[in-house]
Amino acid sequence: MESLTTFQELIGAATMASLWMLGVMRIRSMLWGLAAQGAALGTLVLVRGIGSGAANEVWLGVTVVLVKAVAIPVFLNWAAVRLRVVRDKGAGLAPGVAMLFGAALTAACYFESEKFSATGSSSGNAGLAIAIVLIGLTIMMTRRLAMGMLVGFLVVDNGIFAYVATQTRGMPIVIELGVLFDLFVGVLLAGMVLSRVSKSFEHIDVSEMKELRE
Amino acid sequence: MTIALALGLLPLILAVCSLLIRDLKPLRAIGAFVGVAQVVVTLCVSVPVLLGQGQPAFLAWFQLDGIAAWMVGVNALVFGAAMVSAALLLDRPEDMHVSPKGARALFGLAALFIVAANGVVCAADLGAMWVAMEATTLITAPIILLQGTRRSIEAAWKYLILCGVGIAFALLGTVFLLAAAGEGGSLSIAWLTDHASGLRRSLLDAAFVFFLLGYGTKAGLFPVHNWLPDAHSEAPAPASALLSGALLNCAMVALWRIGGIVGQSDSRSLLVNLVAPMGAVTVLAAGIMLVRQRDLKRMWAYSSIENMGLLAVAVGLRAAPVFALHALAHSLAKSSAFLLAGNVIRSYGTVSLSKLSGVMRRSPGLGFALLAAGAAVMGAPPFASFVSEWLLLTHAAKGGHWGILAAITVGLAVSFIAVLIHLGRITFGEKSQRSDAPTTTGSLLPAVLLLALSTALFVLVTPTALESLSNALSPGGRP
Repeated sequence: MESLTTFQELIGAATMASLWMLGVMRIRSMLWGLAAQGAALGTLVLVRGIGSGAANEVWLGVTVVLVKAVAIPVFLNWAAVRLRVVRDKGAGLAPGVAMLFGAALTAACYFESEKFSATGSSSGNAGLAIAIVLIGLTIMMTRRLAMGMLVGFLVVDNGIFAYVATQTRGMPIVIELGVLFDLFVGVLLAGMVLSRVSKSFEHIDVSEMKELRE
Repeated sequence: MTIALALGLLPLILAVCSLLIRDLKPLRAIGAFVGVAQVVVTLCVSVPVLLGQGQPAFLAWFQLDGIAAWMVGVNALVFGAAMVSAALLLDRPEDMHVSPKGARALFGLAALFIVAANGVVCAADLGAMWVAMEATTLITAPIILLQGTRRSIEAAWKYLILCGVGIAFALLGTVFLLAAAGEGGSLSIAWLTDHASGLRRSLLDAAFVFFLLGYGTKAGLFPVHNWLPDAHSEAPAPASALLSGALLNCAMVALWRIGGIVGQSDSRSLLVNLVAPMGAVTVLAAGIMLVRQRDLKRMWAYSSIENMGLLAVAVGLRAAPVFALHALAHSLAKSSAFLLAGNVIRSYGTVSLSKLSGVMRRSPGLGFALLAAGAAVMGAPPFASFVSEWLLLTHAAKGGHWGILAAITVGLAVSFIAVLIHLGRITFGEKSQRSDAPTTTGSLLPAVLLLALSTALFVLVTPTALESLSNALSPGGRP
């Protein structure tokens, strides 16, 4: 029973982290949020693995913490320093409004949780995972810098991971690691493309990328 | 195991060579050799499966059943033609707007891509399929960057982020399906098909919508097609041929397999009511967008969108032989069209429709080939796409899907006229100003061979052939 409450606290922490990322515009703060979220999700798998004594899950949890909470945020921070981006100007919703919107979204998903749940349980975990996905999409839509969009994308991915971790008995470990590997390579690649973007456009403002508009 | 080696070893060797060999000349030779050898080896593996002489093989998360055997064959043909063509076109890389280093990267990435693409079509597990599909995105994104212009960089970013989000949706679909399977469920396609009616309905529906959005983005279905024309037009021509001829098919195969699961469940009406209309709208929209194109490669790209719409209709109506045949016919025609566009770039330095004219007078071979490719792409006889499009139309008519039939017919007619006018303008008319490097007929060869193959297919497709194809493609792959 105790592990169940820890479970919900961790997924709650991950949701909080995504709300925080929605409200902040400084890239570094967003990356702290991303790291916290990755750590919460990794710990979640780790706690479950230790609880059930499944070595697979322990290893997966450790890998998730290393990739999502350490490697990716550190790499993105390094890229942000190199590209000299400090804060996003934002597009569409103002940060405060966006945060309120995110909170409303979270509440709605939480109370409608049975609909998303695999077993029809009303614990709210499924709803929170979906809320993370939706907040991630909102982050993507309310950022102008390519870096901010990338963080939003990673939040979406974390939300999906949260859903897998809470609603299913998990995918085969090899597949799970494959997903993580793809994600990590994707981030590296996006960093490379971004440095090319900033070199030839002299900015990474997505709303100013108009070469291909017809 | 032998099959996995057959499908992956040669390209991996080429990828390693592209890292080790600094000189472009030997690398081009190796690339061409690997391309041709890959066709031979792949057909040796896949044809027995299609003829029913070998059992479908399994290896961990991968299988070589009927549809996989067919699609690896298609992948290999496109890869072979693209590699030979790249070898011939890249004798002076700067003519193709890439650096010598970029040309090396092109060979290596194309080889890795074909391994990932074979992984997608052979996946027997939706998780493995997702991993392979994401790998194709990651491998092809740097190819789009190769020209290094602002346009290509923007196209690569757009591709990465839009397909990234698309593929994230597909992952969400995958995990919804896993949740729908409940305790003891798995993502194995065979398991899901067997237990389709027991899947939790609400989650299955949600999963399918996310799959359609996700893999639909990758396939370029309207309205989530935005990345496709940019990526296809900015990639070097042989890579565009691969993107259009192999990558898009992968996404359609993914939809086909998921459609197979949904078709066995209580949600099967989603196929006819959601996928088929989405395909028909794609055909119509792409036809209209084709009218105002100003760039040869963008024109082919929009035509790819249109053909993916046709394939989506085939997925929606579960017409297996039509799906397979059209996938092959489109890949042959479109790869050939993009490879010819590469020849145009090399000879004229541009693919802008307004700057090109009189190709027929300057280089009659290229002009004829372009017209033939246009006919093949648009589904005119004597090319295989004529047969597959005709079969699709009759299939829709037999099922009484009149709305879909009308939309496809109008879309096909509009695009036929549009492509005809655009191509007519550049092949006939006055000689254009620039043609520094004369076209060497040799570099036309791979494209022409693909077209010849398409014509051969046009002759070979008889009702009996279709019957046995349909057997070979039935689930399990046993005739």
